[in-house]
Amino acid sequence: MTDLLKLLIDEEVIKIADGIIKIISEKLRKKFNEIKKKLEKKKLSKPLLVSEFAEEYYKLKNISRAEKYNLIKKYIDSKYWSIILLGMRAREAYLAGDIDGSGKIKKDASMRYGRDAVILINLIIQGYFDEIVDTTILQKEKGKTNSDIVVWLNDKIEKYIKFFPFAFWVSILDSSIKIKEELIRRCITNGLTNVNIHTIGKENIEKIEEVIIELSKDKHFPKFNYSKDYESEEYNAVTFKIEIK
Amino acid sequence: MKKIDVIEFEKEVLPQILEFFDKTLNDDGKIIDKFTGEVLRDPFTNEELNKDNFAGILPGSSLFISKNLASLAEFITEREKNNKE
Repeated sequence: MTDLLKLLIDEEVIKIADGIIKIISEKLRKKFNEIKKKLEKKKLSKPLLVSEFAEEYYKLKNISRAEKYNLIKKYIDSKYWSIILLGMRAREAYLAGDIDGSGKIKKDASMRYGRDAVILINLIIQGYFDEIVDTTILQKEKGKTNSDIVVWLNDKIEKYIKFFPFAFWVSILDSSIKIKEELIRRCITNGLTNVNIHTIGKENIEKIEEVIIELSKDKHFPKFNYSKDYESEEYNAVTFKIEIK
Repeated sequence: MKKIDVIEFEKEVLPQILEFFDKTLNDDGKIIDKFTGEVLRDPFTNEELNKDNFAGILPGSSLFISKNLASLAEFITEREKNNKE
């Protein structure tokens, strides 16, 4: 007897198919008492997961191992990589039309890491992370040193998570007042001249447009130009670009 | 033999799986330690674990986790970092 895995295989309680071990319920029921007698307390060497959840393990792992990310993964602080993985999984779910699945991941991330993680995940859903990946690869190709890339990359991600100065995300939960406050804070309090607002969905787009119209008439708010770029018409994904004159 | 990543179990055999780790379900469907009666909590999210939200056990310190994907993401990240897979 070596470990749980080995023992279960020896007892023929499991079968191997496509790299996945499935414990067959009926057989397990019949043999469990017998197995238990033989088992000593051994630490698991593999995750032991309920089948309906194990699929998520493989999906996350496949994303993490995607060739495209191999180059940059080593430059990213591991504390961020977990959130990025969740973001990529949320993007995958979102693009497959699984809005509930995408929302569940955001909820999970929020519970674990707080709302800042959701901000990052929303950006990843929008494709921002791929943009970062492409830029990083480009820097590598241009001969930047690894240490330069590490600083640049972590700084960029850190800014998205913690400070988020130049761009923000509007969700269904954000009120018009909140959007207005976010713009005032950036453009008046912090004196920024360029701010991007990202959102998905007709209702959110209309909400932002109303705020923009309101602010354009507000004599206390600086004069500005704005553009509205559809990143995906299919999903109503839009970036509003505000430029103070 | 193909590489094995995960041991899966069907939800129906949860009581037997828990038994193996000296845990059991109480009358409310919560997962408790068989000896202390203490309700188990996900170490990452602090959620109480029950028959519906229990996802499984991660190796190492035998962490009992809920169906929160963040726990899995951290586990995968940690494993890759340590080149254990």
